[in-house]
Amino acid sequence: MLIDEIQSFARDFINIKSFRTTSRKAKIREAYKILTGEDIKLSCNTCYIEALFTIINSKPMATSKYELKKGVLLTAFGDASKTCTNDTITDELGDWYMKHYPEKAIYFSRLPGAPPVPPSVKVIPPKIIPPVEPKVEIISPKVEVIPPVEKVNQAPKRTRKTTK
Amino acid sequence: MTIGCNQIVDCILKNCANLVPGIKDKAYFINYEDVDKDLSTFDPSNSLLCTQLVLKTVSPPAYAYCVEGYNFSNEHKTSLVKKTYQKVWEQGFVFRIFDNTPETKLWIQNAVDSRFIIIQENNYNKDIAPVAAGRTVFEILGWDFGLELNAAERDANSDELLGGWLLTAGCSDKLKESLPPLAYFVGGTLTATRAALASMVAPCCP
Repeated sequence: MLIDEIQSFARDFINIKSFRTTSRKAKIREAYKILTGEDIKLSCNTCYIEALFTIINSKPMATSKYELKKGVLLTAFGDASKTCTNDTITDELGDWYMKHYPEKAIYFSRLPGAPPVPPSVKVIPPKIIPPVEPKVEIISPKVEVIPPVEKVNQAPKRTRKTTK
Repeated sequence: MTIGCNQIVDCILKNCANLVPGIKDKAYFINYEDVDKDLSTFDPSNSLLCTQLVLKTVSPPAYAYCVEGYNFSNEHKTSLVKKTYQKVWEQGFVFRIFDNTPETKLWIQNAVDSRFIIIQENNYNKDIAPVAAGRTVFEILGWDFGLELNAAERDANSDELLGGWLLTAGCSDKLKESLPPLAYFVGGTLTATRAALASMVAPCCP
């Protein structure tokens, strides 16, 4: 529970100075002490951030294949045993819902097989451009017929008159 | 609310249930932007009954943050506001914080700069068959626009609050809610409603 709470403010604690409150630092010190048995130097801000990473990394990754969005309650008509929230969902229940109510996939924030998508990141599917066959154009050489040049009666060349 | 589009279609009969006033000391604040309105659902025959409230999957994670008062220190009031052409609803929530730490003041300052919806728990739980019990317990304030902090006051010499904070949340000056507070009732039972609420409560909430 303490680690969950630390995880909830970890990002802001690292990024925003005003979030580094004494009560949060106390929680980090407490969790770090439980995990490692060591104390954090009170005046060392970097030590708190390093301790924060140690604490977060110590938490095992969720093993459930399914994760429901917060606030969602899944119900199956006529079967109360299938009612669940994110706190109570099991892999078997998730599989059952995906088999019988695949349209409820919109209420899941994690599904097996789906690639892990960071929250708030919009995935734009790549545009598939259909292969275009190259058009082969046979360009026939243009032959220009040059009309025969008509001989025009040209004026006789002027020649210098020889002086006698 | 649209005048002229609704008609009275049912009766109001004498209520034999024990009507209990007041709300619980614990209320839940959710940042307005964190509510996934697309996935939230309502009763098809009654738009005032929210049957599922879903939070967005964002980072840092969205939560319902609880605020705990003491000895019925939370208050709620809803009132109709008549405008020139339409009628809207003012939804108010008065709460007290019996503390004055830097963390308390930071919380208040963050609330001043934000909009939020509030889930409150009524003391009144109408439990008369055949209607399911628990439908009157939880209510959602500020569904349309979110509420904002309209007043914050600390009187260091107050003999009531003993130097704590008196905070008043409500609608904007002009944009009021189109409906009264929504009933929040999930899965047809109060137990299921509490379970759904618990799944979105922040880890800092006991």
